[in-house]
Amino acid sequence: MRAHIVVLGAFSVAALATLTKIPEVFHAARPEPVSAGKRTLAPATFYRLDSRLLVSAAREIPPEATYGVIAGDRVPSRFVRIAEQTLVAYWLLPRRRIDAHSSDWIISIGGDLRSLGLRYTRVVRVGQGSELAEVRR
Amino acid sequence: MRIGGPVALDLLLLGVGEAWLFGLGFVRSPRQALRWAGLAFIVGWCALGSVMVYALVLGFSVGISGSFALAAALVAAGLMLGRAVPAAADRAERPERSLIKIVSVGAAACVVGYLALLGLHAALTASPTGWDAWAFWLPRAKAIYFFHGLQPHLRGGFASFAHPEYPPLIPAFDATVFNFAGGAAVLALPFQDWLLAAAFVAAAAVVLRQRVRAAVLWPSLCLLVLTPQFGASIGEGHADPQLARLVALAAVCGGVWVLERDGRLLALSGILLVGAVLTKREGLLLGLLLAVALTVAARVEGGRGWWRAVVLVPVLLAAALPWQLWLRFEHVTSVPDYSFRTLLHPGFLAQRLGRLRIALEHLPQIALSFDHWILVVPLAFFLALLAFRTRPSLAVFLLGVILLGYVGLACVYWIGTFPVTWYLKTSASRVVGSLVVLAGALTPLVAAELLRPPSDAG
Repeated sequence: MRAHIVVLGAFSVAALATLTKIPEVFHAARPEPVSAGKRTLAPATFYRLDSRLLVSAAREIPPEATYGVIAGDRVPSRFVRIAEQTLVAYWLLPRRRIDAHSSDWIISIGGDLRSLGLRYTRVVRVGQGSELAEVRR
Repeated sequence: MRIGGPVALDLLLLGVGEAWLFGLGFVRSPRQALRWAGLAFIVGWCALGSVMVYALVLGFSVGISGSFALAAALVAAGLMLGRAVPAAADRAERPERSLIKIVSVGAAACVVGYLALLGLHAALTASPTGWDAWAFWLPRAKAIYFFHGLQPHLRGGFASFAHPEYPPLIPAFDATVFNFAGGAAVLALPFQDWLLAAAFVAAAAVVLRQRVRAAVLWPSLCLLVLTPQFGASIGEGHADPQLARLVALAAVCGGVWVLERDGRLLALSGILLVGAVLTKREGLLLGLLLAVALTVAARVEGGRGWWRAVVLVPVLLAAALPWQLWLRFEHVTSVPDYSFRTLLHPGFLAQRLGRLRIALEHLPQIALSFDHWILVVPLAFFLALLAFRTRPSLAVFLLGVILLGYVGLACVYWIGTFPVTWYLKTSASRVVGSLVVLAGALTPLVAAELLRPPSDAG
């Protein structure tokens, strides 16, 4: 009988503690219809990254093309440079990221396109120091 | 995206799992098939997922027809096994008194209602926003899907992303979802993750119900499911929550095995741990520690066949081997987060004792965090300490596996290559989840044994 009381007491304490968290837990789980576009771009918006780079790169670079990435301090935040490079690699598949000197396209995240010594067919400015450039082969 | 595609895949997983549960003797009627559907779904995920991983390692690309063929082979194996294995005793149908029934029905309704809410959230709102999700888990899944297999030497392919040494069950499964959806439908994945989470709760309930009264079972599960971290982890795109659920479910099956010695439960533990081994590197560590804890607990309990849990050790090592061989033969090089070989270098370890101290201090703080896990761990520890007199085997098992896991995870941070503060900031709350969910899932079993009348022990 004593075991019953002790176990019941322990469960009661845990249940009361859980009750205090119920509003927070149910609030976090509330379903809100979010558009598919917003949901797919959520990894960028979650980390306050500029999603225009992702959208423009996916529009301009053909799916079978390859691309290289250069980064530089025209995008001052090191975190943003690393995050955008990482996110681009996920977002652009099946476009493959390879060495910049042998790729079809260059994505510059605050970098200097001229530093590669390549010639470009066209350059698309995306904003906040980012550019896309199609390499002339 | 074809919505029907992922549904067809889910039915395939369910079919494989039901066939294997038939093979093990747990499911012998449509009613049982319905009650055991949660466990069947997870067993199907482990079985079909593991076979897909080995097919990828051998260089095959598993498309829709390949998935059906593999599933058919697994179903046939399960049905054949069922002809040799007798039906297991089903002791779930015990009547409750009316007042107690109100408690159990209320708690079950709370669990089901909250899970339904999480399901809607996963389907309508959630996105895989976790850093690791889009840094390597999802890109690896996309690479398998777009480039038809692992293709280790394709520049910009599977092996180009961070941590190519991590086992590929989650990317392989996600790639299969993409195949069935007819495109890289990343937004289908949070709901698939929710299905696995909901199946985990149903699976834990049906296994525990063999020994635990509904009035203890459902309130206990309610305390675990309603923790902020349980819901928050669904659909984030990390592998850790699925690893936690597999290890916890294996521990539940193992815990019931310690008390009942039905080898089928140990087989279930093995299947789930093989899935864990192929889900994440820590799966092997936790699986081996669980096997050790099960062996010790069974020895403490006494009776026949206590040594059988040792068999899990070679099974898990064998399950991990093909992936390790693939990494070596394909020269897939990486800088792993850690290597257990460094535990053999006393000088290296001595230089880093500060890291061990920090890890040992901080990991319990996260596990005991009220904001993450409320009182799941304190409740489990309290009940386990109480159970030392009546059921020492269960107390040894629960406390042993948690302490071993805690030391094991602290050792990973001790020998890790990155700064320990970075690990604690980025991964500790996810990694510790395996031990917390395990503690929460074993709580009903320990509580039930404490409440069992002495005449009913056994």
